[in-house]
Amino acid sequence: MHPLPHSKPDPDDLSVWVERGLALRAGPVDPAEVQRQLKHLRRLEPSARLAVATAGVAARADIPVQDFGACLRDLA
Amino acid sequence: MSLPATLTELQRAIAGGELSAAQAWQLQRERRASLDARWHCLSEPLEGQLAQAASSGPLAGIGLAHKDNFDTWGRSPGCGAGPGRSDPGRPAAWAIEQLRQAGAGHLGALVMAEHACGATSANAHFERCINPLHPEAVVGGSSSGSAVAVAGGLAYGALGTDTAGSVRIPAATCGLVGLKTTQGLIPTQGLSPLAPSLDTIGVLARTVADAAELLKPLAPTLKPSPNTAPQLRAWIPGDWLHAEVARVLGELPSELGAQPVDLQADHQHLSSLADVVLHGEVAQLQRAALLAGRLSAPVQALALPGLLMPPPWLPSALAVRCAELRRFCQTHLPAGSVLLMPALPHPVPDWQTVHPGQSGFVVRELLALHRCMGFINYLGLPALVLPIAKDSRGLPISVQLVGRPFHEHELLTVAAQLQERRFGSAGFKPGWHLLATEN
Repeated sequence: MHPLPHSKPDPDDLSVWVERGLALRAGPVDPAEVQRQLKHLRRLEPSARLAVATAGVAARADIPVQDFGACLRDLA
Repeated sequence: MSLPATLTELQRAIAGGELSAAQAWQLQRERRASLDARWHCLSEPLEGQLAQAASSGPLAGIGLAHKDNFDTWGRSPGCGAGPGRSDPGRPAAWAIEQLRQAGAGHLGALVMAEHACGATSANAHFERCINPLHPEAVVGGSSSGSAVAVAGGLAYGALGTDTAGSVRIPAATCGLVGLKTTQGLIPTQGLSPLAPSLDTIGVLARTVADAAELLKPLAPTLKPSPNTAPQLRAWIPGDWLHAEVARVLGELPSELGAQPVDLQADHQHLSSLADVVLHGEVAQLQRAALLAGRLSAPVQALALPGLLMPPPWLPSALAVRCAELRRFCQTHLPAGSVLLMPALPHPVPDWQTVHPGQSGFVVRELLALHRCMGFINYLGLPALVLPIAKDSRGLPISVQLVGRPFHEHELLTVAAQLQERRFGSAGFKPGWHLLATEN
C-alpha cells in the first residue's frame, strides 16, 4: 500500500493528487487504481493546464467567472 | 384502425377528422405494454389524469415518453437506478409540463444509463434495451429508452438529456433525429443534474418535422430563422473515421457545396476541457456518495477523476469557456453558417462490443461513441444528428450538424433538406409503426 502523503499537494505532481484523493475514500489505496487514474488525468492534463494558465486570476473563487449564458446570447 | 408512422402525420390525421385525439391516445395506450415487452424501454408506465393526452392543442392525442430523470406529477425519477419514488405534490419538470400544456400525453418514464453515466444502454438494474433496427446492434446512451421507444413505435417522440452526447448517441444508433439544444434554451427545472454546466435537454424524433413540432412548446420564444440557406462548412476527419463512414461523409462537401474546415486541434483541446468540467462537476455533486463508496461503477468512473484532479482545473476550464466559444465561432462557425461533422466515427457496433464486461468488449469502440460529442456541450452550441445513409448491415450512418447559439431552426432547415435528399420526408425508416410486427 502507498503511504498517505501529508504535505500540501504539489500542483505539478498529479500522482500526489491521485493518492491523496484515493486515500479520502474508505479502504486501502490500490496502486493499480492510482495508475489507472493517473493515465486518465494525464490525458486531460495539457488542456487543463493551458486553461489554468489562460484563466489566470479569473480562476480564483473571489472573481466571478463571465456569465456563459450571456455569452451565448451575445453570439446568437 | 391503425396509427400513422410519424407525429406530423398523426397531427394531420387528427386535424382532418380521420380519427379523434382520444382514439389516437387510446390506441397508443393499448399497444404500450406489448411494445415494451419487445423492446424493454419503459422504466415505469405513467397513469393518472395529468399524463393523459388532451383533446386540444398542437400535440393533442400525441403519445410521448421521456427519460426517467425528469420530475413528473407526484413522482421523483428513478434516474436509471431503479423505479421512481412516489412524491405527492411534486410538480412536473418545466419541459414535461410544457408538453402537457400543448396537449401531449405522457406514456411513461423510460430506462436510461444509471444516473445518465454511459454512452450505451448498459444498466444492471433493467433488462437490456433492444435496438428496433437490429437485435444485436447497440442502443446508445444515456437516453437509451428514449431512442428505443421512438424507434420501436411506442412513442411519437421523447425527451432526453445531453451532457456529453446522451441525446445524439442513442439517436444515431437507432436511425433517429436527435436534437441537443443550446445550453439554457430549455429550462432544466425539475431535471436531475449530472454536470449542470453541460446538461441540456433535447428531443428524439422519427423525422426532422417531428423534431420541429416537439421543439415548439419547449422553446416558445425561439423565432424561426429567416436564413433558409445557411453557409455550410464540413469537418470530415478522414484519418480517424471508419472507411464506411468516411466514404458517406466524404461525399457531403461536394454534394452540398460545403467548405471543408479542419477542427482537429480545437477538437482535442476542447474535448479535454469538456472532460474536466464533466468529471469535476459530477465529483462535486457525488462527492459524499463517492467517499462513502456508495457509487456504482459507471457513476464512479465519471466522478473519481474529478475528485482526484488538481482543484484549479475545474474553475479554470469554466473561466475560459466564453473565450473559447467566441474563438470557435469566429474561426469555424461565423454568423449564417452551419457546421457538418461526424456523429459516430464508426458504424453502429454490436452491443457486446461496447458493453463493459462482455467477452467481445473493445474499449476503443466504446470511447468512439463519445468522440464527436462532448466538446459541443462545453461550447453550449445546438447540434442535431440525423441518418443520411445505411451501412452494409442496413444500420444508420448519421451526420451531425452544429449551429450558432439559439439557431436551432437553421439546423432543422438544413436537416430537412438533407433528409429529403436521402430518404424523403418520411425519414430513415418509413412506417416506423410496423416495426413491432415485421421482425
